[in-house]
Amino acid sequence: MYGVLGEDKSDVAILKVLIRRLADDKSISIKAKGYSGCGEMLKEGGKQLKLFVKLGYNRLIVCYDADNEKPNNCYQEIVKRIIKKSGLTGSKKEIICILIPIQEIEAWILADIEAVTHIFKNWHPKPIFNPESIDNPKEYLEKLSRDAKKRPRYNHATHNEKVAQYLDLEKVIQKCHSFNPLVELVKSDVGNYSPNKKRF
Amino acid sequence: MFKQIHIKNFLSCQDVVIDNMGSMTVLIGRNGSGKTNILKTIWWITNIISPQPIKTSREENTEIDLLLELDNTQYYYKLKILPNSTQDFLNEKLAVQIASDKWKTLFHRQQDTIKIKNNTDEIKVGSAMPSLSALIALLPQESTLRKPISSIVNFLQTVRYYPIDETQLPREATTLFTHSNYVNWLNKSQNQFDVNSSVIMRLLHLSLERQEEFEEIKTLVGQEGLDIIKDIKVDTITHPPEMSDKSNVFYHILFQPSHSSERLHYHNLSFGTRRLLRIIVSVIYDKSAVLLLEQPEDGIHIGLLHKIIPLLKSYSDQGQFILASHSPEVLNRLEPQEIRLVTMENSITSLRSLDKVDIATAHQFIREQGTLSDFIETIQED
Repeated sequence: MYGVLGEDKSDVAILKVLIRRLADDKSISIKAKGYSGCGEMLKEGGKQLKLFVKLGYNRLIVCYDADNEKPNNCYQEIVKRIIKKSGLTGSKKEIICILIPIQEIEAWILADIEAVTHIFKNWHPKPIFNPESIDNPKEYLEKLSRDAKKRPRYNHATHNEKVAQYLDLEKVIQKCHSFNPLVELVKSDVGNYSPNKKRF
Repeated sequence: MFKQIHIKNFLSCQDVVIDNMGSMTVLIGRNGSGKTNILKTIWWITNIISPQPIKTSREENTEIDLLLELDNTQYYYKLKILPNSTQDFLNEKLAVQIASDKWKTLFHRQQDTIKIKNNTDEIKVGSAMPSLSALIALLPQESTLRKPISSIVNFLQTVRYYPIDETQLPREATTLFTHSNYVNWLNKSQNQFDVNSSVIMRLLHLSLERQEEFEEIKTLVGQEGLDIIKDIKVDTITHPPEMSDKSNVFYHILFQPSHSSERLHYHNLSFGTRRLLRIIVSVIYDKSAVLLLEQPEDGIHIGLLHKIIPLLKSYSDQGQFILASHSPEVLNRLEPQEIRLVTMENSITSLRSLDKVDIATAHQFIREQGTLSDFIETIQED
């Protein structure tokens, strides 16, 4: 059973879809908390993780967009302000995975941008080969839709989780290294946090 | 779009400046602070394109200064209403930006006389009659002033104020209605815009005449969008058959809420669903240049609130949004520079933007400590 924290409600919505798809099991139980920004998540996330564990959700995911920061710095911040505050150790009892999408989780959607055609029938964007190199992928995706005058317009809060249903996960794995820890967790039950780990 | 609006002495706005406006501006403040007054004033400003005399009930001069950006050109418009015991007098000025910090006056007007730049002629108008509509009527076709004035008039014509309240539900919300009801509504709506115009009739019009936009609304509210309404079914019933004048045509619109098998009339939908539907239909159908929207969060479940602002922002290329809100969920979807804090003291409304220091502090706070709504709560005055 998975407990998921994210900076934004739309981030945790994508993660729920992707976890179930990776596990090939729509019935997996997932508790998620999406915050209103990374500050709130850093402040409140520790308590929430503890609550997840108390409720029996012991595969824990914390998702924190790197934006323009170094992933290792983001990792250390999560460890310091959420994991350590929660008192959890990442033992066999609970497995912890820290996800740091480069630059934002929307890069995973850009990895298989053609998937939007499942939702927006007349939109056929060109493939993107290095989605993690795009600055501000959320705005990039929404601007593509606006510039192409697509109807309706793409917005991340409504459409990210819808598109996630159709992503070719192999493409996301190949193009976005930041996606791989999630794959490891769901497919191999291996987290990427331990108290002794010094670097991301 | 509006880039800046400066209001002096109108309703509770003694001296209110809304500057650095972008595609979304949100007024935040306590009940009774004057947010609605600001929205209504902006809507009132559209009277400057009306051929009707302008009048205020104030004793002091009312002044409105506008900075507009239309088709990549900046315009400055000033209106001063000088109250008089018998009738008000207007002073006006319109200028266009020709270079950074350089403006060229297109016309100015004192009381009943309009003077056009580079033109010795004077145009006389009624002293309370705004200039713009008069100039459109009186200027020759070849006048270079027509194009900028038409741009401004076209823009202001589609500035619309959307109050919270839904006026009385129309008859067609609950029953069959005739083709002639529809035609009457269509004729009336094409002559005069009404923000309270029936959602049902607008949906019917879209389904009959603007199918792509009808499908767009269905997608937005349906399973691949907000997931509040699974289907909108427009039935056309012809009875008795074989009559050529459409007097035998009836329409019937039913809505199937998501996660339900029932089909309902509009009036049976929940308040929040109707509110969301009204907002979405207004955005898609009305094609307003500026939407002045009161409390978009009203009646909406918290689980949906975080989707409203991103949805509106995704249509910001179609229209500018100026909102009034109380909701932390709405606030937390904004950028700090989109917020204007509204307060009232001694019946006078004040408004301020966040300055550069506030904005930098807000970004850092959001990054490290909490939410934008927490930050705003802290900096709002008691």
